[in-house]
Formats: sequence, structure tokens, C-alpha cells
Amino acid sequence: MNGSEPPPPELAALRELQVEEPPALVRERVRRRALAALASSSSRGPGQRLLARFAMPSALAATVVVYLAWAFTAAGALYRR
Amino acid sequence: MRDPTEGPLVAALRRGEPAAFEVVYGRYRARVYAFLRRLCRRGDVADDLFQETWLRLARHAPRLRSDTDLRAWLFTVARNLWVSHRRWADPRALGQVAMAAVDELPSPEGPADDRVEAALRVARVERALASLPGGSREVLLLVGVEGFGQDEAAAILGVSHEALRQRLGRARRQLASALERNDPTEAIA
Repeated sequence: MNGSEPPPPELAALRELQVEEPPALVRERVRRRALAALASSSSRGPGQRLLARFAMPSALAATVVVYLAWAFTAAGALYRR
Repeated sequence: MRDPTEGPLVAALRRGEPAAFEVVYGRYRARVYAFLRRLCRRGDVADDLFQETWLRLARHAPRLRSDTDLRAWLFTVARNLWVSHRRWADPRALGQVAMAAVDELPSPEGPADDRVEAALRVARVERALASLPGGSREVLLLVGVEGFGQDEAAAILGVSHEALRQRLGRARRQLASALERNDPTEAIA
């Protein structure tokens, strides 16, 4: 199928299908919520975005590693007694 | 292919300008909704996924790449949300609701009057499309209804060009066969 050929009949039939607007209530609700989300996401500065994306996960991972190291050390000490 | 007017729109979205969002919402909401409605075959699910698609755009706006094709981005997100939903929803319940949805579509039978002929033709196509498996529906909706090129559709579905070509061929055969089964002129003859 290329640009110069007419589309096959079953695909041409699909082009006749109507575009459907969402119900007015849904349309307005989604618009309102998305605009609020847009305002909230763009009000975060680059520092906050970096914090959310890298600093927080790194801190969490470091806490887990420290806790596991302590747990293994403690378990090893108990075993050696 | 990316709309050339989208560069400034994407830049404005990245700055969080509500007016840019309104333009994008006005431009694509009906197409995204119709896509989800036909993909899900359930109004309530389509409504939820439609909302989530636009919330994702709003939340992701500051991180959009400057060369983002918004139309392809929105359809990719909408389709991925549907795939996730389908994975978690009870397949038996989905099947039952889907069959009920097919039954609710206008029947192709009826008076072959000029005024209703076009509407009947569209209803027949809708019915045939709704009877196809999800994988076939999504590829037909993207290529046949939305007019995405095969490369764009392959990127949206996350498959190779060759896999897309095969899926499209199979989906077309299934649609042609479903249309034949629903052909009112054959039923009359």
C-alpha cells in the first residue's frame, strides 16, 4: 500500500467512521483536572524535579543498603557467639 | 507525520502555559476519545483512560522533548493505558461486556432507504470492527481510522515494521470477513 494507490475497500470503509466527542461532563472534568495538573507540574522548579527524580530514590536506596549491611553484620555477630 | 505547527505548542506546553494545553486538547480530544471508545468497547473504561491520558500529558509536559509529535505521543499513551487495563481486568468480565457492546451497536438490517444508507454502512463497519480481537482493532484504528503511517503505527504499538505489516494484513482479512458476514444485501439475497 503506498500513497498513489487507493486504499483497500475495508480500510476505505474505516475512514467513514465518525469522530466522537466525549460527553460534555467528561470533557469539562478532564480539562479542569488536566489544567490543575499542568499548573502543579510546571510550578515545580528544576531543583524540585531533580529532587523527586534522583535525590529521593538515591536516599531511599542508601537507607536500604545501610539497613541490610547492619542486619547482615548483626546476624553474623550472633552466629559467631 | 508531525504537524509543523506543533513545535511552538510543545515549547509552550513545556513552560506550562494553559492556553497551549487548551489548543492541544481542542485539537486531539475527540480523536483520542473515539480511539479509546472503539478500543475498549466500554464507555466507562474509555472515560477513565481518556482522563488518565490527558493527566499524563499535563504531568509530563515540562519533560516533553522539543521534537515530540503530540498526536503520536497521545495515542501511544492511550494505547498503553488500554493494554495495562486489559492486563489487570478480568478477561471473562471483559469478554461478556464486549459481547454486550457488540449487541448494542445498531444492527445493519433495516430499510435500505437513501437517508439511512450511509448510517447503516457506518454501523455495519462499527459492528464488524467491534467484533475483532483487540490486537486487530488497535492496528486498524491507528492505520485505517487515524491515518497513521505504518512506521508511526509500529512505533506506537512498539513492534517492528515487519510485525506491523503482518498484523495489519491479518486484521484487514478479519475485517473483510466480518463485513461479509454483516452484509445486509447478502442476507436479503
